[in-house]
Amino acid sequence: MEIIVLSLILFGIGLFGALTRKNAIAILMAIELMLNAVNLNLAYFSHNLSNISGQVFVLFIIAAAAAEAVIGLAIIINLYREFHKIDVEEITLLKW
Amino acid sequence: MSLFWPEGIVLLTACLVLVGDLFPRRVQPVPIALAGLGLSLLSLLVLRSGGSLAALAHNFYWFDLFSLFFKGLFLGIGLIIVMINIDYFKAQVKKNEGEFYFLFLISLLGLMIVVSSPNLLLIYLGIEIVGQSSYLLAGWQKNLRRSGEAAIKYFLFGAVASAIFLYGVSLFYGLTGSFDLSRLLVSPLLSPLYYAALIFMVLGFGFKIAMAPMQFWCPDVYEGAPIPITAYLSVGPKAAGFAVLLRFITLARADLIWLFALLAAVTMTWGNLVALRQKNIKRLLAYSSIAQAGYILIGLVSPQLGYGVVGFYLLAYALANLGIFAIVIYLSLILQSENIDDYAGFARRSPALAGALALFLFSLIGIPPLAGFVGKFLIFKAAVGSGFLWLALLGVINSVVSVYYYLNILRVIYFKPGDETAINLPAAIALAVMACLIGTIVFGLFPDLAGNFFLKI
Repeated sequence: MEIIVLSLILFGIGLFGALTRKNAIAILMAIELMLNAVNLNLAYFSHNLSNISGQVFVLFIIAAAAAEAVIGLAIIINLYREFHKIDVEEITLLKW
Repeated sequence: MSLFWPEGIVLLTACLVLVGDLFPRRVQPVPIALAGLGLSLLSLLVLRSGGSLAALAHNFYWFDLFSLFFKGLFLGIGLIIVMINIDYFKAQVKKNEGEFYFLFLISLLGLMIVVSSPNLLLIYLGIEIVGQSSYLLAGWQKNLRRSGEAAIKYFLFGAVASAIFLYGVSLFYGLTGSFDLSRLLVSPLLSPLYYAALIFMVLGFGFKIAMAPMQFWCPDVYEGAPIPITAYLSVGPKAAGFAVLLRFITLARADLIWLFALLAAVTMTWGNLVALRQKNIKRLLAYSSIAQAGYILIGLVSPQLGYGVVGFYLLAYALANLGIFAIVIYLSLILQSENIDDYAGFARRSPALAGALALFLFSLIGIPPLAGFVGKFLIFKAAVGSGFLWLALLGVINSVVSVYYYLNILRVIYFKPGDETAINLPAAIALAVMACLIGTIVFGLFPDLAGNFFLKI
């Protein structure tokens, strides 16, 4: 039970960070935090249910998260070359 | 093994395009992509007429009519997008053609995986393939600032949405001990955690279909991305999101229906009201696609009718939207502008194309005898049939509101004076517009054609 609460708190911190931080890399880190909360949940349930598929899912999430970080950083680098900043509040060519 | 032909051919084509990119002078990616997609569609039709449907590997991968219909839809969408992309790519994007088509084909493969499985692991991997390749495609015009901005917005929203979806999946696993969605039918649990899991998962998919409250990325990404990719995002991932929601709702218990009714009402009203004041055609189409997602969500409130109603609406919507985007691409090539006001006088420059645009817009509004009318009629009928009269009425009111902004485009094209020199049309775009036009009219007059072959209306 404590683990579920811990992962909920971790997820909450991640979501809060993703919604409030302005630096694109900080948002990326917050997203990783959310994914790790999910991993924690899955590993705990998998252990509790003595069912291996949850842990397999965790492996897939780790791999997909790595790919996501690569793509995200590539997009951020490209953004930095064009705008010379990575502050998402200031990148506002497109609005309403 | 022959069941895997459609996916296998798309994967093989993608690899061929990537390898061919090593010899950029000698190998052209466009013919390879077109041939591969055509071949894959052909093998799909052979599979359908052979009637060999099966569930493989302990319910891990399904070959039912449902997945065949959606795979066919995606392959058709892919063919049309490649065709309308040719001239735009040559004129505007220019660089990294092979990689562009590779990512596009891989993302089509991801869509085909998403719709084929009731297992959350495969659904997750499928949407990650689709998502990650489309983040890159949205930012493909690296020298354009707005393209980079579209990519970062799409990426950040998408990553948060998939994390939310995964959190729902982890709760679902804790409650049922399985990642199989069909466990929804047997799970006796009715705890708040169960609802939390379902709502998290629905929100994650709401991102893909641009459903309120996950629609904020949509206008910005649509405006910033290259237009063929905008066209793709407005139909491909959207249809896949609806496919998963359909699987979801036919397997879930009835108390989710109220949630979908509410989301449908909010989504279509929001999309339509904000669309009224748009000047940029891509932004207008973004809000219009949000509104259309709202109408399709109405179709989800009567799951006992099966997927036929939603499937037909998605088909009609995809045909009309792709046709409009083909014309928008052409206009942006000759005018270098995406403002609706700059389209003045277009009807006199190219009467045939203007007429086609009018028909596509009428189909989106839902005027008989076009496919969009049949789709809307079926959806509203289904809503009334399952006791959601207020939702159907709200849908009709929304359709009336949408007439204003759709017809505004036609007003500018037909009645505003502008440049009137005649222009000629690239063959690929003409072909794509023709295909969409024929589909829109034929499925409007004879909806049974689609109905008998793939859908059970």
